Amino acid sequence: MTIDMTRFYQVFFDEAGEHLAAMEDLLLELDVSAPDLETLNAIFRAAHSIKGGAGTFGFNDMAEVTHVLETLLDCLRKQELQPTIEMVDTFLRAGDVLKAQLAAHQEGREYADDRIAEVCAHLEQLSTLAPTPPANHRFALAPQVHTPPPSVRWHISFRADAIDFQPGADLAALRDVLAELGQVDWLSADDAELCVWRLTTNAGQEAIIETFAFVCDPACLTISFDDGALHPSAHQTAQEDPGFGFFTDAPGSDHLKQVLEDEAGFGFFADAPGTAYLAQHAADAEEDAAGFGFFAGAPGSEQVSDQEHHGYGLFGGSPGMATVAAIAQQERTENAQGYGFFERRQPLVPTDAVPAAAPPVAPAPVRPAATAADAKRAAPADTSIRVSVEKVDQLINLVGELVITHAMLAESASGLEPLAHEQIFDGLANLERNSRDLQQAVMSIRMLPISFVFNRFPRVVRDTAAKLGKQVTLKLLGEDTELDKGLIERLADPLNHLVRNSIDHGIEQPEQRVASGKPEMGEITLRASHQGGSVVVEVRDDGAGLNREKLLAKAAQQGIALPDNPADKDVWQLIFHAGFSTADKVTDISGRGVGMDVVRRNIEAMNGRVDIDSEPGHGTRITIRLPLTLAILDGLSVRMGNEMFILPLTAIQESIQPTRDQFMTVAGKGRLARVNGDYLPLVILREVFALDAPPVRDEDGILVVVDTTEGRIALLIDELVAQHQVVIKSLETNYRKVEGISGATIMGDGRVALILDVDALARLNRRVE
Amino acid sequence: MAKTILTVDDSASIRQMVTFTLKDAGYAVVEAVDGQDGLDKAKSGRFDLIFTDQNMPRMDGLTLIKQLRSLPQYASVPILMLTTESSDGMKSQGRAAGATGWLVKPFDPQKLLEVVRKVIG
Repeated sequence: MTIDMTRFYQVFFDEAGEHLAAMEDLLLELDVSAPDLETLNAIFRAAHSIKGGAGTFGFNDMAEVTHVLETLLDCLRKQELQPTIEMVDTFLRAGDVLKAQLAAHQEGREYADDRIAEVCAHLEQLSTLAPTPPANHRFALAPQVHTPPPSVRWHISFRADAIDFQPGADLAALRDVLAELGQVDWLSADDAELCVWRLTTNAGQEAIIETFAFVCDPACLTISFDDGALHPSAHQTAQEDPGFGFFTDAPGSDHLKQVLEDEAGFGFFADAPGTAYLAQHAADAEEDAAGFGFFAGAPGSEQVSDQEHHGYGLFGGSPGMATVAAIAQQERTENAQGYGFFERRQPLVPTDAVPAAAPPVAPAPVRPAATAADAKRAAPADTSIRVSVEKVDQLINLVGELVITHAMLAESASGLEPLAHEQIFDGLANLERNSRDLQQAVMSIRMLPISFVFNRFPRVVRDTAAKLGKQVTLKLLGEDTELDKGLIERLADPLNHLVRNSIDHGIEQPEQRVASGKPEMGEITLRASHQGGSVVVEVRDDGAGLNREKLLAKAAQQGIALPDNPADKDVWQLIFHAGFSTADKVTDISGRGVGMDVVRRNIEAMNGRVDIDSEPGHGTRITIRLPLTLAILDGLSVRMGNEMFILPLTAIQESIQPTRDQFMTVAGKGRLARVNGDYLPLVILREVFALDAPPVRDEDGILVVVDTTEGRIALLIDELVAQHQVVIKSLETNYRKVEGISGATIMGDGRVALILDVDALARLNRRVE
Repeated sequence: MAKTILTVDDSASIRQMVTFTLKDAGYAVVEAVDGQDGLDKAKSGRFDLIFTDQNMPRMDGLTLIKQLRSLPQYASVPILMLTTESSDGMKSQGRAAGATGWLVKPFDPQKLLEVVRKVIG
């Protein structure tokens, strides 16, 4: 029967991926100065599991890497070596190699790269530092590669008269040939009917059999491993002896069982694969060789190395062996010819023995009925399903339509007499509640915890800090904060950039930090939280902070126009200018001046905003504010003439009914509105969009103060209408990009309302000036 | 009646392979994800043979074997260690813990069947 191993691949891929991720987390968590044994053990287990699976499913390249990895980890968990930063680095790189190998196998390729050999060599070199070379952990995948086995004493017994000597051979000749393998001692009398010899050699049993084959039929021999079991007084020695082996499939006679039980834990019978044919002879030998203790009852035993070939063994005399013996007995009774277990040795089977093919056939022709325990186990029900994002988006769209339909119904019903149509109004209220719940439920499908992005940062921080010779810890807060999957994916790059920047430019070198009275270890904090309808992500460091003078000097040098004595906030915003870098030297981490402008562009593309706070000597905080989702917006509908617009609620600070004296015109600077003592640029939507509505006096409109990336501005509109949750429809895909508009939505009355992009409006206004 | 085998391994892929192979050969198989789970399942059922991995979270294979051997119903049930540790030290520890034998990982389904048939028929 062949079993298609590929059917298990996917489970292995998933599992190995999880183990690799877990290993990386644990490695990053490991404190090399005070390593936690449990952590080391867990890391070892992860590597070990990957190795086991990789070996089993034939991914030998991965098995080889995990093997060297595991060897060094084993030294660590056994405390033969102290972990060092260098080791952790190498472990992490080995993890990367394994990930690459795994990814390659998933695509049905094999990963070939110099990194593999390099990492393995490095790991091996590191583990050579261990006091005892881990030679006894030879990788089991290649058991053929043994270190030469130590000299072992063998007992060889045979009936002299049973030996079928080939022409010209006799006992002396046999001994001489055997002497080439090692020292031969005769334990029996020279002329005894039963010859018992002891051979001390480092050759394997196969070699002995082959030697005998030159001079006689090896089927007549009983070869066993001479361990302490022969000598009850030597039990202790035997236990430490590397000897182990198989319990023979020889007759599990009561006599033998008795001996085995008495010798619990020590008697160690090899089930000499390849000498199984000797079993036939065993019955006789058992009686004849009674003088040799149970040894005689255990025809055939085998040396350590041979057993490694076969990959398994059974401990003679151990609990459970009674069953094995009984099975063997049964097998024997049913199949008197004995039992050739390992096919490749079958050529040695004497002609009167039937080759081994028969026994290993499924014993039960009937499929087992599922037991109760089985049914209970029945594959733990999968609690998640994979659905394409497209389907989810389609759902979201449909829910959006439903919300709009409800709004339309409500609009139509608004003219009805409430008392006379109570049922309609009740129904509408229910519909509203249900569609809102439905909307939330559907939206939550797309939500993922931000830990999906945060999780990569322990590694980023560690690698970046190591490269720069800085000491930095990372604190993650609010990892459970959920936001839209699309946003999570697009947040990764900007965050990565910000974090690396903070380590490179923010956190000082350890000596510098000590000099300024700070702990050597710098700290980066990533914090996510919900604030109103937005998600706020903060990147904070406790480094040197931004240098106002340096930034201003650089700005002057690059010809960036700034007002006299600008506010700190405006100065900090300079770092978002394209090509702006104050780093004295360019590192490969950052400093080329590309990036921060891209960061801002990326965030703004998600309808988000970036703010900077910095305090010299105490650090910098960069705050990213994002909408929860790209699909739905909390907005305020405002009217200009006959047109409706939507203002994102998050941008609105306040709205006031202005008076005549709040408006003023500054020569060359356009119009301003004075709100609470501040002069804000005034944007009149009617003019921006050239609406042909009858003019209204300024003081009859409403001033809405909104926060933009360009600072606060005041929008003059005709009327505030209502607050809505609106479903965002892209204007670009249906029409084209319009400056100052971020999208469109359908209102309850079926009309289209445009969603205002306040940042773009502010820029537009500045340009008009 | 089909013999029932308990396989204790923290690796889902290995468990799946063992289960599939043994079920295919007509045995009933129950899986456990670590030593503790194995012990719990062993207590609540009866098994003719137990395979256990060594390195597992919560409870390792050696501990599991010792615990099982202290239970009267498992005093003489064959228990095989399924492990990548092919070192002699591990084997003598296994023997001391009461294991009936060992099977080196990685192994292929045929090898597994050979061993199972040898041990419980």
